[in-house]
Amino acid sequence: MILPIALRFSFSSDLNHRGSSIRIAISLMFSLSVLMVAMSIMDFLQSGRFSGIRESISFDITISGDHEDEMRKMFPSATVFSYGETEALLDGNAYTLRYIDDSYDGGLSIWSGEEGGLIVPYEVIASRGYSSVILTAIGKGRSGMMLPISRSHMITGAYRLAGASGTPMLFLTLDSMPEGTAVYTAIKGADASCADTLRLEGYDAVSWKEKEESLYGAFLIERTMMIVMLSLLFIVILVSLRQSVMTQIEGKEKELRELETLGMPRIRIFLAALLSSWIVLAAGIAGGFVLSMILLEAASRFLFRFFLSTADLDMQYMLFILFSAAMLAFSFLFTYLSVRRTWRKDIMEVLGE
Amino acid sequence: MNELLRLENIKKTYPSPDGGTLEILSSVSFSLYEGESVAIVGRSGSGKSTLLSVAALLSTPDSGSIYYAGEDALRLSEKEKAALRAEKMGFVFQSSLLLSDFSALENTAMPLMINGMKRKEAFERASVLLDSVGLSGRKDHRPSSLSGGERQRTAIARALVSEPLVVFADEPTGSLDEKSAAEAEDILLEALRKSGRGMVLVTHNPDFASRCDRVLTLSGGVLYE
Repeated sequence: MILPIALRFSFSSDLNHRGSSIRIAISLMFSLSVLMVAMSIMDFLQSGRFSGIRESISFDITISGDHEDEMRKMFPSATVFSYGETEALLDGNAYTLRYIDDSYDGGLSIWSGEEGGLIVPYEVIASRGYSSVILTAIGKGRSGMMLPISRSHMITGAYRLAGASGTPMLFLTLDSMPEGTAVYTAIKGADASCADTLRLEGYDAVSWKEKEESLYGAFLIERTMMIVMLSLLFIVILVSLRQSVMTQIEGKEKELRELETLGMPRIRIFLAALLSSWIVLAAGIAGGFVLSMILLEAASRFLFRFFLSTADLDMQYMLFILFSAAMLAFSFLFTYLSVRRTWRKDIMEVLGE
Repeated sequence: MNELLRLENIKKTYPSPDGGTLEILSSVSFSLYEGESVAIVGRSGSGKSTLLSVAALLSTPDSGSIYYAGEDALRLSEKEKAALRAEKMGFVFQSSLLLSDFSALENTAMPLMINGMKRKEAFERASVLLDSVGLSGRKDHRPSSLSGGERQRTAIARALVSEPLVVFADEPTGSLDEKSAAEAEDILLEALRKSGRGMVLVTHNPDFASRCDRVLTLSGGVLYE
């Protein structure tokens, strides 16, 4: 008997009550979808930055020295490659200079280039064209000391880095790497926590989080603040939910007490009231889910066109389930408090007799 | 005759606005027997509806005893009281108090379904009762599309559907026109006469009261014959 009563009560034939239920469901639908779209955009912006760093700059794990063969055995499903790295000056500007070979998988897209030549960022080729330039980098001198050494290189092409635009890097081939240049082994596709394991085995390993500690820390603070802001929005939703539940219960107060006169135990009356509230919430949650998916799809396409880049906004399913469960839980509490208030009133007064 | 209901020394107070207590019922006692109808009359505010709600176990007295077919009803748990109301009591209120989202048939069958009866069987019994009160063609109508008299007849059918021991009627004809009121009175009294049930009637209508077997007057919190 509880379910039929709850179904009829939820979107009652009484126009005021039905209007109230519809308003609650719509309000919840919009609130949830705003929350989910905001969370998805935030996650995209932050993950995008992180993924760019992991893809092209710091990689998942970086180990000092050339340990390609060992790492390929330890991480058979990961991508492993070596490269040399140093700092260099070009036209008075500081760059990170990497010496790479064909095995390099750092999200590098070469935009015209010749083997053996210097690959530069687009703004350099735009200003210098395909010209010869002097690169100053630290290398081992004749005396064996590490000195700044200037060499001439021909600019042969420009590059694009996946997800990490504007990063000052230059690329040369590995066979042109001067002696004494630091060599690193990169691992992509391994969990960052594996760096701890490698350190225990004696390798000088760092994860991308450790390498980009300050940036990652800044991202975490930004993410935390955004979560706090969105949580405040959630609190506003809860306050509105409480008012809505109270209004719904008060609207059906007379009928709830009437069920008591018909012999329905109070616990079952409470369950009917609760289920009725949950049905309205479920309509809002379902609507919120659909609207979120539509908005995320629209935003992905719009961002792609506007910013000329890919924008894959993912639905935060776990967060959506968490928010929905929290709303249902709070609705349980608010319904209990409202129904308890109803029980305290004199029944004949409520029935209007 | 079997005793259906007995109230002994019932006292009921409410908090008053000035912080004290207001004694509505000071020492009310009466018995109701099988097939008997008892009318309770008194001026407005004398506590008639309070007495009804106490007798129907809808509110708890401050002191006193209530027995249903010899069983001490005040010792029952809330769930047991609800079961007692479902099986042994029927209610007719002044404003009929039908559930607005359910049809006349569903409203009438509601006490049976609450008590666990299957929907089909409950509807069959409710249908028979609605036929007996002249609502054969209005079973699928919701209360909003029934007239005042039709709503009250539905409420009467609902009160009788579970074959209760006692029917509590609080001004059942108070909001009806003369003709509808007379029809409702006839239906109620006829049903009671046929079934041997008891009725406790609260009314301002002296004519309706006079049709009952006994008339009790509530005044100053005390019931007088």
